[in-house]
Amino acid sequence: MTCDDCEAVLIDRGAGEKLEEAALRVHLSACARCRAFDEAVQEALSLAELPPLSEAEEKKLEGLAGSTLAVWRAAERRPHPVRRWVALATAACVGGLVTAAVLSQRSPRVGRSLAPEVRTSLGTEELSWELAELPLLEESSPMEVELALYEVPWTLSDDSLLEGDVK
Amino acid sequence: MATQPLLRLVKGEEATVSDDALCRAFLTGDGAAFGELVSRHQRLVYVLVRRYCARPEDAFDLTQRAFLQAFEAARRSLPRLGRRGPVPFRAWLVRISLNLGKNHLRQTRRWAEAPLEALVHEASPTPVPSETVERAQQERLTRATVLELPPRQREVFTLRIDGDLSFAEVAQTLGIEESAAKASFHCAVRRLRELFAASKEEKKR
Repeated sequence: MTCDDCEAVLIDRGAGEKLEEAALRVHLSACARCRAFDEAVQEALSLAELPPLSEAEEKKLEGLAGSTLAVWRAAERRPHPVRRWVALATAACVGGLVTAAVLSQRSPRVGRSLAPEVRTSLGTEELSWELAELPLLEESSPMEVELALYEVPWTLSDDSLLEGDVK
Repeated sequence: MATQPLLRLVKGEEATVSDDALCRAFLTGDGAAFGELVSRHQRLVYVLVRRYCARPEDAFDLTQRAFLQAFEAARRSLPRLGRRGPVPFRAWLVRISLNLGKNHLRQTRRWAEAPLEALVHEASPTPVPSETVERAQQERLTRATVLELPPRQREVFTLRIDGDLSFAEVAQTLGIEESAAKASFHCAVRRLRELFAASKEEKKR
């Protein structure tokens, strides 16, 4: 066994591995360097080990299952954060749809195309407004007078013969 | 109306039931299975996380969180795993414990709470015997020295020494080869030997 092999074996032994110790003992008895290494490893491992649990820690561990189960059940009763967001988003969508429906009933333009509207006729209210703005014609209006002036009688007088007519 | 659990433990036979069966029983509503699983692994989780914590309260808090996260992982994974394979509850628990410990250490370092110092310098209403102070100082030194190791070496060391896991289990938990776990352990021990020797030299001066 070389010193390198011995060091590896000593660390394994420190870790609690079960080993064939005969060859190790033979090497250690003849090698002071490896004996010092063995002592250092044992010391380092014992220093690095944390002390055993205190009574208070043991007692607290006994109640751990109950307290952890209580925390789990309390968390189960609370709404899941993702589910809560989904519920809020759904509520917002429904609210938006209801609002849109109410607005569309009030104004027929809601929800229509954004293209300019071609007006083919006036609405009733708009028509009555325009009529109210127009002045009413009087019974003997200038237009009627003009029509009377240009009215031609069906019976023609002699003077009314045109050039070339035969009397 | 309360739902009946689909699986239920038979009283007195809890110790013989596998982690997988206990986990499935709890997730279908058997509260007793939860208690059995926690009792079975609470010591392992606690000794792993206390390496990273200066105060026992923090270690208990992390232990509880480790169990809650492991059960949550089991609940999420159970539909996917189905009846195909066992729930690797213990492996999850060990891995979660290490991660929680590492996060806790990172946070305490980030916020410079100096919890390692707090262990010794905590104000006490009654005079503390010198023996207790010495023991506390030694424990602080031990913790600080192991936490100085590189992360992989520290994990292997903690799992092997504190958790008493075999090298095969250590390797499985960390997702490495068994030989790599052994090599990391060897490096950790050599490094610790140097660190302790250096601190001994400092004390002498």
